Amino acid sequence: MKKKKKSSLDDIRNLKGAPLNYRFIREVESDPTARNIAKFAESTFHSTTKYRLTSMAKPISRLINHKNEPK
Amino acid sequence: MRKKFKLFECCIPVKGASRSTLCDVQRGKIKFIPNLLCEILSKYDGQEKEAAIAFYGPDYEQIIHEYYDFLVENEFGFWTDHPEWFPKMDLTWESPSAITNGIIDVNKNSDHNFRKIFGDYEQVHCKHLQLRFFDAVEIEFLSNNLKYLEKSVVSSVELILKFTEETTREKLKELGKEHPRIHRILVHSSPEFSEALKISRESPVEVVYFVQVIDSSAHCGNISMEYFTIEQDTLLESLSFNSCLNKKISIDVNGDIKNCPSMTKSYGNIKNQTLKSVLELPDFRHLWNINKDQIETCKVCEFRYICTDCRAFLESDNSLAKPKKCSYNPYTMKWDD
Repeated sequence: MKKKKKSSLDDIRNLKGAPLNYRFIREVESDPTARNIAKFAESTFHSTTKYRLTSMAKPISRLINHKNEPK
Repeated sequence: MRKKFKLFECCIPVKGASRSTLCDVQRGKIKFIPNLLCEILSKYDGQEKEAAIAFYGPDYEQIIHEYYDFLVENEFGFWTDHPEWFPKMDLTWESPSAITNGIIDVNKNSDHNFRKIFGDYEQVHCKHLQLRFFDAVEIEFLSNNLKYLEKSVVSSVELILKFTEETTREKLKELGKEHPRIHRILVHSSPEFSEALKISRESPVEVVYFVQVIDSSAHCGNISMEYFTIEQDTLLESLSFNSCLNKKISIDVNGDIKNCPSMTKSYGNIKNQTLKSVLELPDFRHLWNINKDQIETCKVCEFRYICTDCRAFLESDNSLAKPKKCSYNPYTMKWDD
């Protein structure tokens, strides 16, 4: 039976007409924090971050007036 | 053959009265651009640069060259022989939940049955809840009630608590560990401001302390750049629906069911109504469909799809008036504080 070839970043980069993927790869490759986040998310997905990954992006309400808070 | 210019689909131009924004929802950033460039992007996306130059004339040629260089340098777009290979992104927004988010307000006189309330939110498949405590609350009371969410479809909970001796960072971290659905805790009436620490395994919940005293829902509805959300889901929802009230159902301090606790109109009390039955009232969903393109002033604002609206506090009696707590003027491009 033939072994399934593992896809690498280069394979994705070589795909024709995939500038969106290219843009994403550039992001992860150039930014070590992004790489760490990706690693962290992968390693902890089944533990503590399971629920927190799905929190709402936009504010549910806006009670705090940031202008009045010291920075 | 001359190459054609294609804007990345994750970069959405939004035209304002005096300037425009290019909202990059993949990178979560916005860039201010002149209205002329926004116009070119909407008219000539997928076409040769020369088509735009031919329309605007030789006076604009140099400017148009600079615009395209800027777009490529900042990775907002790319040149291609086959723009048809990159179809438009579907801009419709859908959610499988009848309700995506809700607010529960609590003060010292509230008599909420959290078991019943959380059960009601479960029935409408609510994903995100915010519990706002205007008066002091014991951590043990909070923890006992949050246990009702243990097997719930609610995936995130945000808490707003009043500062007490109990609300130490350590205790709140423990609460976060015990209830993994808690995503953020904001502590108001604090003696000093303290920013959130980075989320880690040891500290899995974001805790922020604020000096501001929050004693009622009247404090809500603030609009500022701090509240902007540059994200695909939010932007797509804002294009068609109200960015604050769509798929939201709230319970105020008295148990009254409302679109938002700051509003006066009540659709019944949680003691003798279910959230599901209120949701079926046609009147209840009316505000969900008021998007930013219908609202006075907001409709010409370059931030309109990344900003969260407010229908509770308005500048005038007109139901489509600008939010009262927004001080931004899209004509002068200034925040009038």
